[in-house]
Amino acid sequence: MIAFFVIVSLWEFIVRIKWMSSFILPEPSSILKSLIEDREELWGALRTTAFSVSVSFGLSVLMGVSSAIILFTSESVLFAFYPYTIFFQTVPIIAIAPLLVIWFGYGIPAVVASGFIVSVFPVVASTLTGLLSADPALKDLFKLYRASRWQSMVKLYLPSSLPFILNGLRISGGLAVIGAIVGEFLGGVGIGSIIDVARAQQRIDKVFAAVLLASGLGLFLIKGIDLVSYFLLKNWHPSELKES
Amino acid sequence: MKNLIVFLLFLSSVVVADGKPVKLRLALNWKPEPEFGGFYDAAINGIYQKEGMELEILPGGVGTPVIQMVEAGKVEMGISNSDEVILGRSQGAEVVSIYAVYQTSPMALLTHSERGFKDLKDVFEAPGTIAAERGLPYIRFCEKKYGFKNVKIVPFLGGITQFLSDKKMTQQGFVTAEPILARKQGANPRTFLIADSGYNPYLTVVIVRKEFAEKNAELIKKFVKATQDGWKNYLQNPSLANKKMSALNPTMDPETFQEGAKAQIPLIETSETKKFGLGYQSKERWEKLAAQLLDLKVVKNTFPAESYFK
Amino acid sequence: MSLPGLSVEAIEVTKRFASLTPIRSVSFKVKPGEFISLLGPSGCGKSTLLKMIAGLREPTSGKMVVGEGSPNQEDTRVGYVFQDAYLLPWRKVLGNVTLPLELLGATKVEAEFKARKALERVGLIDFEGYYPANLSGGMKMRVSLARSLVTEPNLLLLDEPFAALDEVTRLKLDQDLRDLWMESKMTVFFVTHSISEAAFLTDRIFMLSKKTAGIHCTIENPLPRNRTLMTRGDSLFSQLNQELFVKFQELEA
Repeated sequence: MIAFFVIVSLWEFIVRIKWMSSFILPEPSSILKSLIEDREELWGALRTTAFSVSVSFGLSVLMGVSSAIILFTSESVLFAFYPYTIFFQTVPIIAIAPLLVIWFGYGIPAVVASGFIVSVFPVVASTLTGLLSADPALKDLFKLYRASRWQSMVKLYLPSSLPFILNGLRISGGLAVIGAIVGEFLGGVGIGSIIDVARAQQRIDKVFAAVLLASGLGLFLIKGIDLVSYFLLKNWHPSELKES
Repeated sequence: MKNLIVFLLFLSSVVVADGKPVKLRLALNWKPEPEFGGFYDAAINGIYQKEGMELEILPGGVGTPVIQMVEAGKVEMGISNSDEVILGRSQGAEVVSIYAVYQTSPMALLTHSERGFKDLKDVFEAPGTIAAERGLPYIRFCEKKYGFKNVKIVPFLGGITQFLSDKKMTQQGFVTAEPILARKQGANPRTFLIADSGYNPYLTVVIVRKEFAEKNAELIKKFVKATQDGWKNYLQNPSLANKKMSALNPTMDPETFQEGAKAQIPLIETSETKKFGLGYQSKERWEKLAAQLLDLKVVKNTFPAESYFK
Repeated sequence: MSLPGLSVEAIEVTKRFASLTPIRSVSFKVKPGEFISLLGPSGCGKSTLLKMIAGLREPTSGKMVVGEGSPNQEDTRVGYVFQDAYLLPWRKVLGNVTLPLELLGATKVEAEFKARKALERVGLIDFEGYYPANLSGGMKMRVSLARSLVTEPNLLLLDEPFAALDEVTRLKLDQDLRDLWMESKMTVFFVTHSISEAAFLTDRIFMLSKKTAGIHCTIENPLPRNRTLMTRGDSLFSQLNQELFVKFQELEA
């Protein structure tokens, strides 16, 4: 906390004495001012962005986990389709964002598409790794009692993948926010739109205020995942077990 | 900061001393296109060199933060627009404009002729969508003047793909580029200059730091002269500079360069420039623009008109 | 009420992997209800053989016949205890012991009832609500044992289950296992590299050789059926140990 105040005070001081132009890096006080003065616009936009992020992240989790399960069940399917999932990770979202707007229309649909594309792969990859990492001895145990594929998936593979999936979700959540903001540059709604317009208006203080809110959203999401992880893993996974 | 001071001292000492050419960097705010023709001509034909300058032109692209780059001292000169200068100044950017390429702003709205619009008023009053950079002041001006009751402003995605695929769409563009490209793709655009609405800022202006301008008045004079010569050449015969720019910017073919260079002549050369020289800026124009921006509440404060330009 | 154990017969069983053949042409016959130990140095293929008896691996050639000729050959119920407890860490103790019954389709009520009985037999009924992370190594192994017994198996296979535990716990669990076997009639295979453990627990000892990848010799255990800690002090016990020790050395030669 102290470190935070020191940094912010130093920052304010540097800009005040014109050592750094407020045009390039606004003072914390002007950013705060914008957060207060423009709050209606900013918070309204934040709500829109938060909605888009929730939908796209939710879709990523659903489709990401399901895809990984499907890829896992058949080796031939895995080899055939895994490269396509990698595509989602490597495609430069900035380049295809205009296409998304053309396909899905302005507004939230394009933003959700953008957030989804950017955040789905970590979920697929981490779920798949988790499924593949199931303990071989436990697999033997299930084989011994002639467990069906369904039983194995539900009672062994999925629970044992949980720590991996949750880890992937942390990465995916942050990316969903970034993807949504990029989509909003062109989609015309939410925090991304505010950043885009404020930039053209040379309102750098407002840009920083909006960016701050976006980071806050990302932080909130990741902390939420941390909380879920704690509750799901607290009894059994080394990552959440306390020293006894 | 320290580096900039050292550099400025060096620069002023060099300007006084004879012999070594002054190194200058000019950051463009877009890819090389006819709007920068005069600069490239002067550079290619060694006109800057004759005046003791070595000018390096740095092409830009989407969202190049020219004002920030000049303000931070990363480049000595940059290309901006006069309304951006006023906006930047009110936010603390200490820059001034030393040369204005466009006397009439080439900013325009492309519409499909089939829609039968006769003027800007029609464009804004008919129901439909307009793709534009919503943060630019001219949008606010048009909103105040014409109202956006029936029309929806959506983000401009760049290029002309949307315009081509949607017969009901209107989009922003430069009169020297997008309409020509659209016509080549078989569309039938009808273009309306934003300047006709009464909002007519100087566009494609050269900016430098205020400090720089004060310390290097002689250099600036020489630069302006050289630039004027370069533009004089380009207006008459753009092919040399076009060749160079076309090589740097493959998204536009040589034919479009040619047409664009021709289309922009009446926007660059006016009765005023014939009297006062190319790149001329008047106090009255700056005053009017500042007043318009203040009235639109796009800026919170303005400075005396003389302080914006040299 | 436990049903009679299964017979197990191996006929020229061979297991070949890409680079080695740990089991080569092994044959034996085990009667229902026998307690057999598989004794040998590390790497002699004991675990591989055990897995083939369990049906977890298939022989490359030869046949492993389980339960033929037994009155209940349709009803093969195999229990397996691994070298580590391998409990599902996300389930409580009770949930771990009910697992086999769940997989075989029992109802929750039925499964929990039987699980509790099994936990009682290993002395852990008070810990049914604990998570494995909070149990000691010995306790986890007992849960694993309870899990293997919950289906009332007629064939129980154990792969060096007590090797990682301290001596006292090990001695106690050896005794518990022997007592459990006396109560039931199941056939038991116990893999170990501890001579004294093999001597204490079993009817017959199969000694496995790394060199021949097969059974070097079979030794009948002369000790009486009822064995306790006292038995370990018996002169017959130490004689058996010596004999096993000598035979063990032959394997190395």
